[in-house]
Amino acid sequence: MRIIFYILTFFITNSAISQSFTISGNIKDAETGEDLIGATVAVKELPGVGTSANAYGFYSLTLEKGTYTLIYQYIGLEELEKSVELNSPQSINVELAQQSIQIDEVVIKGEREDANVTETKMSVTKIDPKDIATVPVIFGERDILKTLQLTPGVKSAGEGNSGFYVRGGGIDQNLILLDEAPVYNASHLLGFFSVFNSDAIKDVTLYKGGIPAEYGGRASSVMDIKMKDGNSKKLGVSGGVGLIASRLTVEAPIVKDKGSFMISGRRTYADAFLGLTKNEQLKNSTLYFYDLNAKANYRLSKKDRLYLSGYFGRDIFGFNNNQFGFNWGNTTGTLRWNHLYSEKLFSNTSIIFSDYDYRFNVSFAENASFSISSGIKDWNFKQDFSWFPNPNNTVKFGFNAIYHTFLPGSIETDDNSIFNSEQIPEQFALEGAIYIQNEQRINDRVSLNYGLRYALFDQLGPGIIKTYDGEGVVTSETSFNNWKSIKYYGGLEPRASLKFQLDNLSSIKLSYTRNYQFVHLLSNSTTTTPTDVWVPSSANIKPQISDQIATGYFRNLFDNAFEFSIEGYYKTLQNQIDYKNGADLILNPDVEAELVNGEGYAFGAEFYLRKKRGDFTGWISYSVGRTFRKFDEINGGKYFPARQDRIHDLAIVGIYNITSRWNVSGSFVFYTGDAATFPSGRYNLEGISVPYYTERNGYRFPNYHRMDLGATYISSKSKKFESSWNLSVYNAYGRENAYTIDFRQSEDNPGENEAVQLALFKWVPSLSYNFKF
Amino acid sequence: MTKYFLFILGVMFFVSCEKVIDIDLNDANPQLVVEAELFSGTKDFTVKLSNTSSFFKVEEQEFVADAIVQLIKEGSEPVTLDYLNKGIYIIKDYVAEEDKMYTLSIDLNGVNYTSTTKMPAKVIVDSLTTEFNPGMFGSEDGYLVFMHYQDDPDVPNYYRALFDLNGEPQRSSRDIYILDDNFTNGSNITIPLFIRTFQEGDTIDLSFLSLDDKSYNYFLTLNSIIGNGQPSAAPANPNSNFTNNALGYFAIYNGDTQRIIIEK
Repeated sequence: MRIIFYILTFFITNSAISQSFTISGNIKDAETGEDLIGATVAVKELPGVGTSANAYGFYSLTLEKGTYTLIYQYIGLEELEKSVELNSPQSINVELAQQSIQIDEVVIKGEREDANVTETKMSVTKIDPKDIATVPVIFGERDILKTLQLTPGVKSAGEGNSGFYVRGGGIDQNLILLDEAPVYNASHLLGFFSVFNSDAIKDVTLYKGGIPAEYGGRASSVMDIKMKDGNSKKLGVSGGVGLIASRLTVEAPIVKDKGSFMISGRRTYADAFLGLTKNEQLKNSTLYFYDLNAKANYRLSKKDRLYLSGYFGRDIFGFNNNQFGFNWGNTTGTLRWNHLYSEKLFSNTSIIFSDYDYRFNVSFAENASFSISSGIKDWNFKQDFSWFPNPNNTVKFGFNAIYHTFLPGSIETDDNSIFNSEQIPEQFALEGAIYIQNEQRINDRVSLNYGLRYALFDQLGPGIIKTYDGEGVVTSETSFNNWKSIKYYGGLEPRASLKFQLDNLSSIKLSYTRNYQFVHLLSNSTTTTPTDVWVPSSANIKPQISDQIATGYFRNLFDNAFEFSIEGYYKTLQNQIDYKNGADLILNPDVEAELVNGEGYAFGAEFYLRKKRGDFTGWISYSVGRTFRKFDEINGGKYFPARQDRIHDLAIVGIYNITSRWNVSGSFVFYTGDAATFPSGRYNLEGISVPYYTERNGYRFPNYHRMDLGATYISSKSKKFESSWNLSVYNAYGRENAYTIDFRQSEDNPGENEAVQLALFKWVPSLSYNFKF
Repeated sequence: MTKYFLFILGVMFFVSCEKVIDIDLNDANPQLVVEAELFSGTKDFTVKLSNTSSFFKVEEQEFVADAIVQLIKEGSEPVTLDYLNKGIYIIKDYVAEEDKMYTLSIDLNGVNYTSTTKMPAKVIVDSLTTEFNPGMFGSEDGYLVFMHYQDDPDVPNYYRALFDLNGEPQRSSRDIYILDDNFTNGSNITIPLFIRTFQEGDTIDLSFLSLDDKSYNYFLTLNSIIGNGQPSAAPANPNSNFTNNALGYFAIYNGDTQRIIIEK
């Protein structure tokens, strides 16, 4: 009680300033006109008082009448000071210029140099695609998801894979937002590429814990990706030509300083190499993907701004003149309206569309052709407010409502096919949330971010509730009409984080997060595949719930040139999903009967040391952790390690600028092999040697390690034209890491069994050329 | 599917490689393995009992000779099988009838393992035909054998094909060929035995058989761990239809055998 009283007192006294006025406006990059998300505004006369720009570059600061000097900062850009005679509300828009001394070093952009220590947020990783331009990656295609895998607490889903695990959670427990639109399948070509084209991306923030109340919907993490707005000053063209893909981005003002657009495309052409093979079937095969990002924004008035952004991408695979055809992709669209109700109240209204679908065609004989399709479609209305009552409090509140349409699958055939057309009925659901949170600075040492989110999910008719017996046989069916509630779930998600500043250079933080997840990914394979199906929570599938507490120590060294942190976390997971043995997940109307329900937990520690400035930059990231699951039907009801239970995970990244034209980079990763199920015996059946399994995930893959090297040569650099060559080698020392291990009868000696490892990508060199004008 | 992707990716980047590696595996306690197949009509009924062994160890199978094995037809007295040799128990010229429930009961070291299965309705293959197929999906050139039959629209059906090639029964890991009628219910079906291609002059004796859902489920889950079908992220023992964790199956088949000789 007393604590609440104190908090209220702080809140009230701070807001009861006698005569105060608000300064508000936008902070932009002077060169491109891009909004500077997270740029800070400090008041020279009032140490510790300040604010930062929101996701749209807007800031609002309310101060007592007086004369102040405001300091606008964004790392990598020139600091700007402005004197203000504050005796009326003021609108101040600023543009921060490039630093006059051009340094060719990689600058880690961020809110402010010591943000790591001073912010209340913890368990957050931010990446600016420009910072990672020179980190070596497979096929020379830089990829934000793969760079994130080199940071603490984030693990790769496998060799060259863009899927990831956060703090022991599953791949489907990460909410990936592209300009607020959820992306349901973030991978191209079985996960070897992510759907995010770095050229079109402005900013990526990954929340591993302490997730703010404005986000929700997945059990483990939120990845918030924002596309570039487009250059509002002048026409800009950039692009790259690589061995397997090319990219082109065009951005330009619509009306100078009022609106701009950006359009960015990418297409792979690696399947051109298939023409070199002798195999006729491969010659007639195709395998490629493309994607397109587009965004436009326009300032209607001083108080109103519109944004329209979209993503469209597809993978196309055809085997031997489409005997097998397969294509899949995401489409997202976001329409946003920023409005200033007052200089203290900022509003954003969004209408968001997201669609994922796949289609699979087979025609191996005249009367045996069919096509299978499946997908998920969302319409989302979202309203968010930011209220800046005084410099010590920033309140955010809002709500959203998503209408989901799930297409579990349909099979289409022509008249003379032996296969019957069939459609598993679509399912519908409404997912909603309402939230409020406050970021509160209590004094120079303590700040808090606390919030509450109520999340709800309502499976809607038309639909059927089925009940099943232990063997998966339907025991009852109840039908529901259009818009009738079939099953309702809802729950409160408290969120809180606390920062305690020890001194100027160090702080400790604490956070708690609860998350509900109402949509579930059914996937029986080890990697993300296009045929993975999303299903809603229902009478038979309960929502997943995760609770996480985390604590950390943050310290900067050598005038903020180094950043260091240690974080520890403990997470529990309820209502986890696994599958019965032999579960049929594709086109199964009773797929809910194939699932088993269990629980899990994860804990671990993460160490991070990063050098942000100088000719040599880079980081060391080390995570140690465990993650377990338990299901009554699996492993005799005992806890077993989840596949991603990797224990040790180390990544070292270094970038060195030798001269202003040459830079070299390298990265090294090591992690404990995945937990896996291997046989503990064998037996003979029909003359076949059959493996005998005794426990789930009781064994491990061999440890994984790999080094990548890269070099970049800037061939020309002027205001008008920049170009560079990038050479990289993936898996430079040719380590054969196990991608799969097969236990089988020896081909040479049928009486014997052997373990056969498949390794991909022994070493992969790539060369690309990038330009910008 | 995944295999084809990897194959094409592999070709594209010339990079995948396979090798035999050393892995330490535990030795599980021996577990009973049952192989029992009951065919309709008058035939010898045999049951083979063995134990599991170490995965890598090259050794003779350990057979079980001291079990009491009984077959019980619904409404009849149990019939005890005689021990022959090499873990095989037998009833000579047993008459198995359609639509009857059969229970196989095994008593071993004080533990009883049972399985009950119904003899399904007979499936009749109308005809077998062959067609030349220029190598497809990486297989070699050769003839495919097509089966033509009418699926019963009123019930779920499960099928298995067994065949002898030039008098030799084919029972390797790639020969477990099973079908269901999930997407083909009630159709007049023409489907190739696509696991194999044959050459001119080959004689194929093909038994096309129906079986019950549990036995079908056993072979389906068996296929996923011996390299046929979709590999699973979490491999597990096939879903046995025996109690007390015995491995293996008791399958009842009903169908007939037809011969086809491959001609040009």
